Amino acid sequence: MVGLISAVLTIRAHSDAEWQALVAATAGEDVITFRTKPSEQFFLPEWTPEHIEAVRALAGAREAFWRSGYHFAQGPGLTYVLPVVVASPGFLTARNTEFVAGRDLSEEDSGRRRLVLSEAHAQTIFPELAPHEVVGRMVWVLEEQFEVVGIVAEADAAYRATIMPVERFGFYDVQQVYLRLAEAGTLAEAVRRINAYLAGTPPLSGLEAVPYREFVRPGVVYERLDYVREISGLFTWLVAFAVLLAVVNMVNQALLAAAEKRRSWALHRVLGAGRWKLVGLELAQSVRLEGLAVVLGALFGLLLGAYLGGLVTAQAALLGVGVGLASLALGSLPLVWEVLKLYPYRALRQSHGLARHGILNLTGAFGLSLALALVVLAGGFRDLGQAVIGAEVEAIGADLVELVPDRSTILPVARPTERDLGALRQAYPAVPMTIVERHQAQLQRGERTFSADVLAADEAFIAVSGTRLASGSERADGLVLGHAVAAALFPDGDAVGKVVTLSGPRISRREVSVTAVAAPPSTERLEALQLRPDAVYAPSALIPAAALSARLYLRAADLTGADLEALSAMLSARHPNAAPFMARHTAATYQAYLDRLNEQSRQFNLAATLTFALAAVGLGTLAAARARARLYVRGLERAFGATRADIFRSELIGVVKLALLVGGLGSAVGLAALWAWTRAAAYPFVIPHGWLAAALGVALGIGLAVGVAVARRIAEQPPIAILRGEL
Amino acid sequence: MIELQEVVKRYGNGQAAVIALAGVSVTIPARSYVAVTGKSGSGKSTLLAVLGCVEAPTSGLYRFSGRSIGELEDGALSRLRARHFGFVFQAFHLLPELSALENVMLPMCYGEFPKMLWRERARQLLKQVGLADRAHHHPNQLSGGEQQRVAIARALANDPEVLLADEPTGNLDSKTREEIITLLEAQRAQGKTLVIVTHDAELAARAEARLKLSDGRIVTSEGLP
Repeated sequence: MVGLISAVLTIRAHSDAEWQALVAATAGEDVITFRTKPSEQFFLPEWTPEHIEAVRALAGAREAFWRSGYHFAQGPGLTYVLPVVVASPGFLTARNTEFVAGRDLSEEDSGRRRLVLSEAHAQTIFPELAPHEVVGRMVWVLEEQFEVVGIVAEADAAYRATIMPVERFGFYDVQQVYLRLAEAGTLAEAVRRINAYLAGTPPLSGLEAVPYREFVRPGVVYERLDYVREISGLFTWLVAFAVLLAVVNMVNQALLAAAEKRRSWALHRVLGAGRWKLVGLELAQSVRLEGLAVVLGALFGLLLGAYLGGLVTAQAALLGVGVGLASLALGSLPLVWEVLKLYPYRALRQSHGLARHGILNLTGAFGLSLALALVVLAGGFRDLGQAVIGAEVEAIGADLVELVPDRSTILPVARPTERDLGALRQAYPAVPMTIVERHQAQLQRGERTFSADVLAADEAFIAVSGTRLASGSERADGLVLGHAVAAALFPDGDAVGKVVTLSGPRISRREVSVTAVAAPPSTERLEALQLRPDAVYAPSALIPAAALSARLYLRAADLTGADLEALSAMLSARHPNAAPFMARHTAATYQAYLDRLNEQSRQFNLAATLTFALAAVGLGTLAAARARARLYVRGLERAFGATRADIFRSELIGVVKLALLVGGLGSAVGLAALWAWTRAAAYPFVIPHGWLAAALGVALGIGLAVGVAVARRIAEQPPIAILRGEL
Repeated sequence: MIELQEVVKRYGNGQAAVIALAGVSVTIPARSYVAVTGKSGSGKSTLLAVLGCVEAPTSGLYRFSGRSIGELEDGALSRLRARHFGFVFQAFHLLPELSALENVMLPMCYGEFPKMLWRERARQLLKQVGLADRAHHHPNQLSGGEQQRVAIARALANDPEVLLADEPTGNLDSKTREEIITLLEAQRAQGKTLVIVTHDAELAARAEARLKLSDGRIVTSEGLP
């Protein structure tokens, strides 16, 4: 038992380290931020450092980040105005801001004259320099020189860092706060708790907490990270429960052993043994054996954990040994208690039967029930998470790959061109690929207008993005409207064949016909390329102007890793003085969640096995106590003519019925808990057929194994010896 | 000498309390042969347990050889029990996993005999009860009478002054019963105090003194001061 617990703890330590890495790699997914409630027309929040700490604590967040409003500062030069935002160190990274060059502001930069410039300001101040050349330059702001340490892909601000928010005129200038959650918290639960706090805090009552992704894009489907988090939480509970079950089993075993030894103890007492002498003898015997078992078990567990890929830490080892020793100590208590409270003469005169122990009967039966309930609940959640995240990966496109510049270098970033695309297509003609440029544009039809993202790409876009068309067909001379755009511009009819006016900062006003309307996308994830409801696809020929950025996507289903490296290398070779390109799966984040879930599944299986094993011990203890209590009756039955086979059958059926009863109860409780939990959290409910079958199968298996062992033992006892009280 | 004054023994508390002895006063001189009789539940066995210092009185005074027992803590009481009292039970209570010899040696763990003498002394005692050739048999290999003889040998292990027998012949046939009574009376002849709890009127009649209990009280006392 100690071995299995140590192994689980070892693997868990490794799992925690991996979690931190995953969260760091998926910045933005675990972040909460704040926005003005839709019902509040004008609200000026008055954040203080105490408020920030309070919401951080409420969310169980690892870190809190904030930024001030704009501080308009003169410079550089006499006429140029540079808006400066004061932010906490790491703020830009927490907000998942894209860096064009350089780095984020760290604690070392706090209070120092260092700035992160927006790309637009960098271009205005240093028109002749590429962004990476601006890093390290000095900028004059209000007669003070600031060093530029990074360039972000934004239009409108510069950032500097301070540890504490800036206080002016009696209030702190904090405009935005971000919280990055710890693993233990769930996004939905943290948001709920913070919103309750905000409602009762007047300076912040006009705000509401929202997941960052929802803040960026209102209405986006809820974060999937919660599935992983909740599985993780359940896993912890399962391990804790297994430990509890182990301790209870130790106590029950001790009670059973005490019941078995009562007459022997009583005899020793009558023959002259003092209470404490007897206690000492018993403890010395059990501590020697079980202490050795604890140490060997912990050692075995650490080796097993290491073999299964766990992280062997002193903490896991000590915890394993600690749990074992605590079980030992707790398991010894009933033994000591039984010796101390023994009335020796009475115990000797009891010729048969045993005192039943409420705790033994209760925990033996319900231990198995709860173990199975927890396994069904956690297993159901795992299935649910795998189904939902798996569907998300599928919807984004498990094989959708973007060739992106490696931003870890200081080289300038190149933009893939039509020529590049042509060369890649020549090398890999069967691979669907396209370059997508994003524009902001206004669509107008009569009095109706719609501000939309326009995705300009060649005819491969529909195939590469996975966009499905609800009506019409894609043509090189017309637009494909997202269904929300179509509904807004053509509320009373089919948009296909109609004409709209298209205009934008880089798009000259023109009339274009609508050739198709896209079906709602199967996911609204930001990573997905499917045409979103409020976006429009325009063939590249219709929009000759280049956008600020262009991204090259391809479908890599038929490609190997080597092919992808070759494609990246080919594109990099075409831009020798720029940052090299590399292949990045757009669904990588979700794939990472899925991998994490699968990793947890393996740990979960080990914990579930441990729980089942402990539940089996619990049921075995109960069955043995039950059989022992009925021993006298069995002796009478044998004396009246029952055969060994009759006794064996009767005992076996009794134990199997008991196991199935508690197993069925546990499965039902687990299923009900899963249903209630998913309903409360607004997750879909999936019946975990596999886990239900496993739970009942395990209960039946335990019942049969324990039943056969106990029934054989009872059936083989000589009836006369039973009736004479010799057993 | 054993002296009880207004000894009360109560089990449990409140309404569930059972009063097994309700104010027993008796004096048993050394080397007496006393039979305790009474119906089931009258308190006979509890009296024996209290006399043998297995269970402490709830109230009242118990003096053994002039020492007040109520003042002794558990360790001292256990040592007193081990060295001065020997018990024989109706159900024998031999440990099934031990041989006859080992069962006899068992009380010596708590007595004063040096360990090197235990085995030889146990052999002598088994010889004394006529079971020298059964020393290595386990209880389930012995008849009822043989088991009771082993139990008597065990009771004599620490050479106690008082032998307490709780219905020692209750499970035995008449021939074996006679052998066991003879064995016990032989111990009396060697100067030990013998207290026997029994339902057997004939056995009670053989004793020098008789106590009759009812509802935890002594209702008749013969042959005792």
